[in-house]
Amino acid sequence: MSVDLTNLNNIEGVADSFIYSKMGMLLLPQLQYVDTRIMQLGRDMALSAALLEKIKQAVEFIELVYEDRRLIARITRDYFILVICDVAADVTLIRLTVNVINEAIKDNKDIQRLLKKSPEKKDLIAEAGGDAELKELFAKLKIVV
Amino acid sequence: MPEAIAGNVSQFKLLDVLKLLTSEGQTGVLSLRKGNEKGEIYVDKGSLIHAISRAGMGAEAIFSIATWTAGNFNFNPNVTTKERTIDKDTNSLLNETIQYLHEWEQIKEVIPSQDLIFRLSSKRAPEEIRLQHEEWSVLSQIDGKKKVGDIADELKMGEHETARILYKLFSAGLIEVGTEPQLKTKKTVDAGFLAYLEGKLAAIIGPVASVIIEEEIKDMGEQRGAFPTGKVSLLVEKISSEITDDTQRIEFQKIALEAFRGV
Repeated sequence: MSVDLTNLNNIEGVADSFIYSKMGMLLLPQLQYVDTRIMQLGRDMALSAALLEKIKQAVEFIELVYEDRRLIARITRDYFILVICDVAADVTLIRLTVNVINEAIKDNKDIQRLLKKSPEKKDLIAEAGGDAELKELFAKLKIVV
Repeated sequence: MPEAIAGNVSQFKLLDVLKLLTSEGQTGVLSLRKGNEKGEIYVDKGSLIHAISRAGMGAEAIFSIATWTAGNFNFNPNVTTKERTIDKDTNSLLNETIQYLHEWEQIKEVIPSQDLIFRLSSKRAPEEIRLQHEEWSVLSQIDGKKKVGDIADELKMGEHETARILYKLFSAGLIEVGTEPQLKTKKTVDAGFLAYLEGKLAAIIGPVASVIIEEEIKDMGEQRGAFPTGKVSLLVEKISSEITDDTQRIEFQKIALEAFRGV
């Protein structure tokens, strides 16, 4: 069964959704070009997830609230589903839909195959170039507790 | 008494559970969950010693949790904590909680929803008004646009405390309920949709499903006959939190979302 993000993308206010490896590498959809913004979004979320894991804070969802948009990610052991939406989008509906999609794809062969091809897990925080990248990330965020 | 007790707040009132635990001289933690909201109340040899919830800690947490009309709880005996956020005598605190619940019923009549909007009163003000610092902070937020929930967020004040102060300001004639334009134009779901959800939930958790759905709708300040489409996702999330089995919960959410997309 192929991975279908249509129900997620059809929610009012959702701009797009992606699946990344925990290293921030885009798994799906597979683009025919390199989009640095999409790569950076994955990187920001991967770094945020790594930071929370570092402090032993187990989370299922992370929300990054930017000035003009919101990123919602469902974090699993090996990958995360990232949703880009308007700040006014129905976050609860998005979370529910992401949960249902995650249940359907967690053992999906396509995802497993792509994960096998993705680079091995590394310490993203150590790799983040000292504090500079982290500072840049935090400067972009409005953290909502 | 069994080693661990668990149940649903819609069936057992929290106050009764606390009375049972304290009168039995129990030690342990009562953990509660309502949707994404969590609470913990620690009992030590029958005395309430520490409580925490989204609303705050100590008595404030107990008061706020006591107003829950839905959610699950379980008591784990012999769990202790060094935290001490309750210094009141337990019986006094339980009596205060009863008093608080009575007051809360009155507040809910004026403020049934966090979406309610207040504006400054257009009537003549009383001759002398004395306001506490926090009351003034809340009053200064009243602009005829902000919802009750927005004010609580803005002031980083608990929902209950904000509602209590608003009720006081309302009773003093300083503020009045503003217009609710959203209510006039809001889209609502067909009653058949909620009946369908209830049937699916009942198939998993039994006949208590109808009570849970009714309580959640009431808790959200809405009515079954005119439930807004914009709040369906929240309702689905809240009622599905009553399903303890992860697979069944996700399956229920899937069915609910499919039905919602068809509405």
